[in-house]
Formats: sequence, C-alpha cells, structure tokens
Amino acid sequence: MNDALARPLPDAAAERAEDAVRVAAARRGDRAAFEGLYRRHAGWLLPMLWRLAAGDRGRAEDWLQEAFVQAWQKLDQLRDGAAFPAWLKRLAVNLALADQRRGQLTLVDQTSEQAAPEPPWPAADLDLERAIVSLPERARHVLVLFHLAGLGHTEIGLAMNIDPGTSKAQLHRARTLLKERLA
Amino acid sequence: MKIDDSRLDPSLDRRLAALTREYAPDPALWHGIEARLPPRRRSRRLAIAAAVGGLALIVATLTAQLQREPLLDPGRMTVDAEAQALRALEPESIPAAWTEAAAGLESAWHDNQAAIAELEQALERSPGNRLLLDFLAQARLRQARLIGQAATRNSVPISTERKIDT
Repeated sequence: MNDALARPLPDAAAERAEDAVRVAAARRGDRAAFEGLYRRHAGWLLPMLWRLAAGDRGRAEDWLQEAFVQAWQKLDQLRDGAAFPAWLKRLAVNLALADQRRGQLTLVDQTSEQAAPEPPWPAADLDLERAIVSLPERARHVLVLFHLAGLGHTEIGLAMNIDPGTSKAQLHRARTLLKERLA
Repeated sequence: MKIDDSRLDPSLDRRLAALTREYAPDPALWHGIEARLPPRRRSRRLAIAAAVGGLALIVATLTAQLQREPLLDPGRMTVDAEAQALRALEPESIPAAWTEAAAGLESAWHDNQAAIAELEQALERSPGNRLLLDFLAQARLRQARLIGQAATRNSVPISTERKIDT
C-alpha cells in the first residue's frame, strides 16, 4: 500500500467503529445508516473519480452512484465493517476501470484541441488539474491511483490488469509528461 | 531506465499532495442512489441453515441437561417426549415462517454482537468517547431485545404446531 494518503486522524479509530456500526445496520436494511456511510465517504471518492474520468463530471458522478448501489448490494461480502472505506475504494476503482475498458461511454478525446475541463471544486492548482486530465489514459490512471488514491504498484497492477513494473513505468511517463506540460 | 523519480522532483510531489481531496457531491446524487437501492433480503438457504443449526443446538443442550440431571417431578415425561420429538424433526418439516424468523433473529444477533465487539475495541483505544458509549448502550439494549424476542418465538411453534405424545 502507498501510505502517502494515510489519514492520521486523531479519531480514526472512532470513525472506523462508527463505520462498522453503520455497515451492520445497513446489512439489516437500514437505509439511513447507509446514507450516513455515503455522507462520510462520497466526498473523497468524487475527486478521485473525476480525475480517473479525465474531467468528465457526469461520468464520475455515474460511477459514484453505481459504486454505492453495488456497495449496498454486496455488503454481505464485506467481512470487516470497519474496512468499508478501503473496500468502497476498490469497488469504485474497479468499476471505473472496467467501464473505461468496455468503452460503454464516449471517451474524452485526449488529443483534441478542446480546452481541458475545470474541476467542479475551486482548484488551487488549475494548471496541474488540467495537466493531469489531459494525460494519456493509462498514465493518468496510474498517476491518480498512486498519488491520489494511495494504492501501491501491486494493487494498481491488479486493478488495471498490468504488471507492477508496467505500473512503475507508466507512473514515470506520467510524471515526465506533467513536468513538460507544467514547465 | 529510471522508473521512480519521485525523490528527484519534490516540487511536483508537493503540488500533487496539495490537490483537492474532498468535495461534497451534488445532494441530488444521493436521491438517485436511494431510488436504486433494492430491498435487502437474506438468502433462503442461509436462513434455513441457520435455523437448523439453532435447532440442533437447542436439542443438544436439552438432551445433555436431561442426561445430567434427571427430572423427578411429574413434568419429566412431558419434557422427555418433547426432546424425543425435537430429535426426530426433519429440517424439511420445520415451518417456513419459524425458520425465517429464527434465522433473522440469529443473524441480527450476530451482526449486533460484531458491532458490540468493534465498539468495545474502539473504546479501549478512545476511553470516554461519549459517541461510542452511546452507540454501545444502544447496541446492548438491542441485543437484550433480540434475546427476548428469540425466547418468545422459540416457545410458540413447539407447543402449538407439534403433536407430542406424552
């Protein structure tokens, strides 16, 4: 695991316990408890999905909704309710990557001359946001999963169905392209 | 070829680390999700398996108790006969409503027990956390209610739906 994104919150243990309680209630069909899980975790999931979707907000929101619907349906497969955030992240990443592989939705043409999309949040570093979403798809995926989702190369390899060495090479490529575009 | 050059470009790392990580989605998104959530239902096979497991436990406990402490009062014959009848029950002959209700209670009990264990662990790490204490109190109350419901339900089918020779 890439620990760069580990959140050292003072109340992390309490949050994990609250997640476990809500997951147990949601398993029994408690929608309010599941909504509590959504309120807590959708906020960090959306920026990651927006970047994976090359700045396509509609697609990122579709993935977000689908991830939570699938999470509700598969809650019985989650053994440790406190591990809900990591489980949800894997679910959303797999869903997003599979959707892009299937090409069910119209992909953003990354080589077009269109202006790069702006994020829906007030971006502190708009140049970098634009540079990321304009990266080639594979390089962008690896960069987002490594630097913004906190996955390691082994996990990225599993999610993208590539060798961990390929993941490292794609990360190097992404960083080189970013530096060129930001220079 | 150099693969990981992150240490050679701390400026890029700083900019990546400073990117926005949290953004509250449009509130309408939740309504879209909620509308698509199907009702949660436990598998019927799991429910039957749980009910049969529970029944086997009751039979084993009752049998062991009778062997250890033979009853001396006139009710002994009735209890013996009930134990024999319980042993003779085939899983297929258990009333469906009873098995589903028992499985539901047992499942809820296990879920709740897991939640209690998580809360107790969390309280060891954060003693005095009022939110956790409140959750724990609610979970224990719920556990007591589930046990009460189970005791009520278990007594009904045996006495009303089974014919036992005495």
